[in-house]
Amino acid sequence: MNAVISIERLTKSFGDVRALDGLSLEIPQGGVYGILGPNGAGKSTLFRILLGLIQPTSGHAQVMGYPLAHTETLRRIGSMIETPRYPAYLTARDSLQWLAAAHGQATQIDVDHWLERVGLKDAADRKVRGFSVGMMQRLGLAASLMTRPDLVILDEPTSGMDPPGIHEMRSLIRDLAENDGVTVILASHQLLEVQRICDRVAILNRGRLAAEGKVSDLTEATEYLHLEATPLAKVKEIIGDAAEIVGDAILVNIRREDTAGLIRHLVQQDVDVMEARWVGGDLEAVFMSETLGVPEAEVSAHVD
Amino acid sequence: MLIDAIRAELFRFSRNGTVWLWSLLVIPLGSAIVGIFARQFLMTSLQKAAASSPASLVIPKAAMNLGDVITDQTAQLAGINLLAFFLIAAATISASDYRWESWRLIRPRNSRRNLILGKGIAIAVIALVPLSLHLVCETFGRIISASLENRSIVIGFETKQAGATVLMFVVAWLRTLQVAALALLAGVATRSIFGGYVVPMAVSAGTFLLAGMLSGFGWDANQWRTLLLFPAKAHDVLQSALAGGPIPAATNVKAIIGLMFWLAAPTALAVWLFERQDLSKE
Repeated sequence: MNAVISIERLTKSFGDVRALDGLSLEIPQGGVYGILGPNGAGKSTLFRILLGLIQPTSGHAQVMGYPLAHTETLRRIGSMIETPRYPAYLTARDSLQWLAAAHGQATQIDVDHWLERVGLKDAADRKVRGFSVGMMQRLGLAASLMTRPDLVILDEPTSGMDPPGIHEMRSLIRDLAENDGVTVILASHQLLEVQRICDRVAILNRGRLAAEGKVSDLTEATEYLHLEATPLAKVKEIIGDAAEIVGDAILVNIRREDTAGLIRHLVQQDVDVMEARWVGGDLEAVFMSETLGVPEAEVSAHVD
Repeated sequence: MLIDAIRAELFRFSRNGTVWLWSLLVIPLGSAIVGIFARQFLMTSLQKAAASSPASLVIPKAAMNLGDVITDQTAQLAGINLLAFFLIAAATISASDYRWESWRLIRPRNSRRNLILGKGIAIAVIALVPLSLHLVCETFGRIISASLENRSIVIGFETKQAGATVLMFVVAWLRTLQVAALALLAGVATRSIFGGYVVPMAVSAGTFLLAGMLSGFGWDANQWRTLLLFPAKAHDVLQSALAGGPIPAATNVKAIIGLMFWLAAPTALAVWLFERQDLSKE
């Protein structure tokens, strides 16, 4: 795996609080990579370290083969950390021109093109003090993309956006990864959105890595066969440890291809099967299991 | 690159109309207008007094030498009013990225050293605006006053005087930057525009009072300790020397070193601090 970011035992403490606690992680080049975790898991702290805003207490990381906070590397990263804020007296166009100047590309960047791309063409000359959160997010996205970076880091990119905006953002992120060859790393609490657009995810919990892998691999492990049958005790006795009674149903941890055989066997054993369906199989189940310690079976029971 | 950081700061500041007005325009324009009215009021009062006098008093109307006016005004450029209002701009530039939480937008685009030095140099460039404007407005104010008083105006400006006037302007500029350097350091250290404004004001007021107190204890303006500890004294010594005052050359050198020390030390400290600062809570 060709890693765009390699993190080794990264720790960041704020007083007594450990925001990152010996985190090790490799993020591959290309595609969309999701960083998940509950509030306080260390996602924003990790991003801030990667962007040279704060320094780690200990540990190492390399970004595109260079040590942390290397200026030339940082210039190849586009980023949006939480909802961006701009000086209130600037217009949307001024805001991008200001950042383009700081980047040394005051004349090269066509800021109007980027304002149009994020749907802010009509608001180009409006002062940002009147912008909604969603408009600020769009402006932040334009600022992060206008320098045509190799790596884009987005923290809650759809926060405060309306459904059409979320849809546009999703398309834009996939487009960047698939057509422009940009590696996109994003953090989001919207698990369905992450499941739709990310190729791989890492789940952080209390500053540590709780789970990491391809979205399809992680979600497959949380699929359960939800059976409504009587008598439940007999079903449990037949299946054994692979089954768990939850309420008036039973969750069975088997492979999909074994479903028909199992039901046939239960019927032959005089079990009445009223309903059989697959539940779980999504990031929410993985997330709840990894961050809250909720057993996957219980999570799946609440998913339907 | 450093030039990019400077360009970005100047661009952003050019859009900040409120700070432009209060920090750069109010004092030069206001003091010129007030000066015209004050001189006119004084002249009218004198003329009334002369008219009601039993003796026939005549108020002399000497010609105004524009060269002398410019030199006098230049020597007084870095006054407390101009410095106090210019500090608004200096503090705003120094700490606005903490105020707007915009370090996270701009930090990845340039090195920390360039970004903070870019602010310092942008402040130095912008400082030329109120100083130049103040000089121009005061000169025009004097011309208007002379016209209202029916005084003739002559332009006498010898080469030596012109050279001294340019150096006076440079010294006034350095004094302005010295106070602004404190704003830069205080802005970074306190992460606030308010801190960037109040701390240099307090330091200036404190050193002014202390200098006055210590002068009674043998701290005269020729001594190293005085010129190194009190940059305002160093500025005054240099302006006096340029105006033709009997200041020993050695004292001038000490004054230059004192002024430069107060410019360089806070700037270096601000850079050192900023390069180590966490920008997580701007």
